Amino acid sequence: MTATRAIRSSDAERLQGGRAGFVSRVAADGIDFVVVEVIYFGILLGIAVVRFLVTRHDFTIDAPQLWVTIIAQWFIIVMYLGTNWASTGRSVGKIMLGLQVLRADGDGLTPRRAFIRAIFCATLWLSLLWIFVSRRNAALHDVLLHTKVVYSWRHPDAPVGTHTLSS
Amino acid sequence: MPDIVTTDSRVRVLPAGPPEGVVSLSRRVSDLGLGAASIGVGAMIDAVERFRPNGSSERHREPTLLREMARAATGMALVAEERAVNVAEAMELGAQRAVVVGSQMPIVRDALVGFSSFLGRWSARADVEQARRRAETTDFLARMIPAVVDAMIERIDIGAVMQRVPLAEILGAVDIDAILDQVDLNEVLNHVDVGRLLDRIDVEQVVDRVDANALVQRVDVQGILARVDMVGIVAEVLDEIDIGSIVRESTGSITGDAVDGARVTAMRLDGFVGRVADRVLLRGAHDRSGLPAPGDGETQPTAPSAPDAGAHP
Repeated sequence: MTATRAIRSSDAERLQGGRAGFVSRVAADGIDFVVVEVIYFGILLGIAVVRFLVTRHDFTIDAPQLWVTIIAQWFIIVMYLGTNWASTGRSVGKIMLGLQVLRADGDGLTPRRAFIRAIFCATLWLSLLWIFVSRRNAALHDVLLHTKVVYSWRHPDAPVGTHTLSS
Repeated sequence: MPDIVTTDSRVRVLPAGPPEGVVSLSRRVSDLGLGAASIGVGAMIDAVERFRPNGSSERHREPTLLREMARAATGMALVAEERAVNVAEAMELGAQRAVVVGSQMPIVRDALVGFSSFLGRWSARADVEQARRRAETTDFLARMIPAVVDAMIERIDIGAVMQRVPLAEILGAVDIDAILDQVDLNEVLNHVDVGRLLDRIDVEQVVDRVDANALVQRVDVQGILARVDMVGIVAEVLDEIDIGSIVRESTGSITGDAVDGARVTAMRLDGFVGRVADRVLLRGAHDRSGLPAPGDGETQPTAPSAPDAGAHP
């Protein structure tokens, strides 16, 4: 997307590849949460359309019960984050904030590690608060799964430490 | 059968039938003379009537009398001419017959032949002399006529003459279209040397005299635009410009700058929040990014160096 554009801020340029802090990661997670809500609403809308076409009743979008919503959204979060992290290490929110999820040694996540991390995040999202305690901006799931979230504005697939700032 | 009259130098063939004699020639001459005399007399009488000073009524009747007299004289002259010509014709016929008869007798024939040769010599000389005089007369007329015409032109008031010419009527009667239909303009234009014509035209002077504003006001711009395929032209221009790439670049640059701004803000807040947390946890200031410090370039060659690293202690 913006892979060929130069980074103008010298601060940002210096911090590329560095571990991201609490604000960036929460902002990215907030955007991802909005995306998940949109996906969930789309699913409800699709169900309503199908039901309207099949049963000939009035078109209404039913609000599911709370536990249904929680379980459904938990499932959507796991699938959404797991697939994104397993492929590029980036979800929509992380793309917008210029973040990337990597293994602690700088490689990309395997699908198994990505989905375990997604399950962990979706279940225990408060583990993010461990960032404050950690000396290296690591959340609890980062510590347990040996992952990290870094600033990576430009080269989505380049491992940390070998990226070029501009071409 | 034509009769053959031999002379010393040539043979003359006379046509059969009544010969074209002196009498018939003189008849034509007298006819013409009488006609001319009649016209001249008429013109003179007209002049007398026109330029007659305003006099008595007695003088006023004179032209009528004159006219009657002239007509009577013409009639008498015609009758006299007719009779004289008849007599002359009869005499000529008789003479011709006498010559024919005489030419059949030996002695008379010799005499006639001698006489004929005598006539031939003199007529030849007359021809020569006549030719010389004709040449002189022609030369004289050639010099005199231009002088006379010049003198006449000098005395003619062309302006007054032109005023009396009904030019409008003449032009109204002329069918220009019919004339132009008969003119092959292409043929005419083939004879025109346009290059030389243009060399003689002072274009600057012509342009100075042209009122460009008036000219432009008369141009139907709307009509011209209506005939122009603007949609086609615009489509062609857009094809050349590739608006899409321009929009992509510009909007990409704008949104990219906005996104980068938000990212930088988030980065600074990360640093700020991290420092606050460290302070709350009573830790010393340290770098949470996991990147090597600016001075550790030997162990981490890829570490970027920045002069404002103090923002992230």
